[in-house]
Amino acid sequence: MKIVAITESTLSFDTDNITLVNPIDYLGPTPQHWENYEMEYLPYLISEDLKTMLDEESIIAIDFDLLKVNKFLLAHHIITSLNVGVLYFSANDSSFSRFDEDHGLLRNRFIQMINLDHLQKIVENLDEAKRLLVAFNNLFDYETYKEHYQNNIQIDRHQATNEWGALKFLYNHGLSLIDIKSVFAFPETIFFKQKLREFNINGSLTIDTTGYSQNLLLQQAKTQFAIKSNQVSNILLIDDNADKGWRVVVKKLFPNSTLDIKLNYDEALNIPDFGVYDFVFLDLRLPTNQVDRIPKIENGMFLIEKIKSADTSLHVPLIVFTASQKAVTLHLVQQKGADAMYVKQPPYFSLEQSLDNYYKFILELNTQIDKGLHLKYYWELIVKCKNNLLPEILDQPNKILKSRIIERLEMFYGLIKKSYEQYSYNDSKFHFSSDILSFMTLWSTLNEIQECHFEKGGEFSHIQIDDSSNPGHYLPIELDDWAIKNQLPKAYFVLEKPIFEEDIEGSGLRTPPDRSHIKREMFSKLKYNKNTSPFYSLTPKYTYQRVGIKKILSSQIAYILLAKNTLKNSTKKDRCLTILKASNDQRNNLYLTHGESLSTSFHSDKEQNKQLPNNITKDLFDVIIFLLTGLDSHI
Amino acid sequence: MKKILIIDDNIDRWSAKISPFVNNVSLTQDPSEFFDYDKAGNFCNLKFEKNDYEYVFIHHSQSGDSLLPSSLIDLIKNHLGLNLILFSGNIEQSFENKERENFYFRSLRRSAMQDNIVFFIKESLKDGDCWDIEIFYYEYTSRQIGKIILLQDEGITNEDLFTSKPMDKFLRLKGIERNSTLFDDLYRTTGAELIHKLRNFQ
Repeated sequence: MKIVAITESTLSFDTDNITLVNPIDYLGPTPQHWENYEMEYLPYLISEDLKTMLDEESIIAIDFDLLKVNKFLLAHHIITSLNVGVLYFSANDSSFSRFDEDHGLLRNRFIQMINLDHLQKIVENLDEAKRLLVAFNNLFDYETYKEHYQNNIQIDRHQATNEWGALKFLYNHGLSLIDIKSVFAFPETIFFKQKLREFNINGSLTIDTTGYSQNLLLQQAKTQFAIKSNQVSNILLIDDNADKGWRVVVKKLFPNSTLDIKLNYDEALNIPDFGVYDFVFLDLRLPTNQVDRIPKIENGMFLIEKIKSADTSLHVPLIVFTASQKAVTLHLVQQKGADAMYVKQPPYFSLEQSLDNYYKFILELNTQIDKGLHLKYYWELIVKCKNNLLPEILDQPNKILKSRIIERLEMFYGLIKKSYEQYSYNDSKFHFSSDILSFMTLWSTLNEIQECHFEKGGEFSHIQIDDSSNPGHYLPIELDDWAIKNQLPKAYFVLEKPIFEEDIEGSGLRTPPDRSHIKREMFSKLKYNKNTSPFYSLTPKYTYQRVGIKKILSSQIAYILLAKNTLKNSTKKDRCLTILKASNDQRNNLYLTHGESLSTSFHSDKEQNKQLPNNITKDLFDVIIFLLTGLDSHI
Repeated sequence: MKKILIIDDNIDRWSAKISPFVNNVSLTQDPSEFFDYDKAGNFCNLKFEKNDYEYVFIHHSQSGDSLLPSSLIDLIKNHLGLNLILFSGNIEQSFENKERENFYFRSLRRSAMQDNIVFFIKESLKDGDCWDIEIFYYEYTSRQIGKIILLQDEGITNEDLFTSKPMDKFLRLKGIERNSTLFDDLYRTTGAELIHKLRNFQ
């Protein structure tokens, strides 16, 4: 039987049955991670130290007249973490008055208050000590005690959620409490100790997820994440709580990545280019700087806007970390362009809720890694394209082709992005697919591109037509020839030949040509062979074509690829032509574009059942960037 | 020993506390598991054997969002009488309500129930044969001393007094073992002196 008295007074007993502990011996600086719980630090230190002094059966007697340490928090720390009997004693009976700041302690019937004489008696007579311990255990119920405590404390929910959220995340991720403590110095407050006990988190035990309803899916998601996470090399964490566990969380999630940390808004603003990161985690409630330390949601919102509006970084996946579960917060961060929001789990989550929160986050990370890599490819090429456009891609009065092309490429990017954000409800109920919409948008860009690359008409035939308003006079015939712009010798996609028709009368005589009506015949060097790759080629001489060739977008683009000097020498030309054919075949099958010739399957299937082949969108995008820039290294 | 039943729309406030006692306590948030009724209050029959449950605790909110409407509660009162304990955040606490002839029930503040439910279960199980509902309503130690005084007034011998239930409960609460010198000292004491000693126990 061990009796420990915690007192600041000089008490003397005639026996060794009691150990005296003086809180003054524990006074000292408070570590930084306890800064928000300063009142609890000394009680914590004492309760931890008591562990080394106790027997299996022990009573801790706390002096009710303690001044240097909060006597109630001390009792709570001891009761929460040690299996002992606790009582108060006082040299002065009248000091046992009612206290409102006891955090629910005195609502418990097991708390005994004895006078100093009684303490002397206990120390001298261990049977009495044992009796008090039995009585204590008869009356003590941890759950009721805990309920009283938690109903009577004022905790900073935001702070507690941040710290508990990090700790519980690490535990869910597979770390034991010992592992967690080795990397994350969290304040072991009474509340934290109670939560650890509630979830049976102690020592080297790791989480057992077998009871979790989605355990199989969770394990699959974790395996996928273990592979995908290696594709993320550079991460930015903007969080004033980075040192309260979240730095460790991100580091444990991405052990092979470089992690850059900014603790406030001003620090984050000083980053010259957010595009150097592959992933951004942003705490929404951020202090402005070291002086103005009040966290503000506006600071986080502004950073989302900044990152997601800059050409260099808008493709970088941005996940908002927040302790807020408000739907309006999710709405706002999505409006600003954030890719996802992770709600740090609050302490009141059940085990199932807690694992659900973790599982959904791992799923989200998997999605965002895929999305980030996919979008990065497109966006970086779009930016490169904007800076390297061929001289023919330009804006003119009333013909702002360059602006329209860039707008369409951004539209395309937005639709690809949307394909990752689409609700399955839209897919299943309304049948549209962002994949197909993005492909269609991309295809439509070809129309502007051919407008840029061709000069059309402006030449005149050597033969003339009757001027109906001025008989006896003749007018030149303007030809609708299409030639590659800014290129000599002239390379004509189509050449028109005007002819006058003659008839042979019954007598066998030819009628004079009708000079008021002309017929136009079309000639081109472009040859299309649908059976042999790369499907398009140039013949040595202009040959007669159907008039409609001029209107066929795929033919226009094929000719540009084959005849434009800055493109035709590319070693990727044949691949581009093959992609063009494959893309054209696809677009003929889609509902928003008009096919050159409808495939037999067009009307035999619903749009919801049609799917684009893998990579067709990316291939077409690659060709378009080539047509706009002449650069082909990405193909 | 019969079981007790707790019906509450918020079972979270009980589940951790009663988890060690699932053999003796039933907990549900669905009244239809135990009552066959129509919501209009035309009828309400028990779906359990009355003898299987000593007490039935039902959360009966006073703010109008009760699990069961008052008309049904009246029918349940008729079935269960004093075995029914209605509890709520601001209900008037009463050990024994009698609204009219044959309409008895008990009422209990939720905080008192939350504070005492584990003690109630543990103490009753130690006792072994009945549920001591007084735990919720009276200061328990004083109540036992009061009962001991009544037994003395009835002329009980000290030998019988020290084997009586009130004394047994008192000794257990105070951690006094029967083979201790403390017990021997009490046993040798009678009358008002004994009561004085009991009252002075911490």
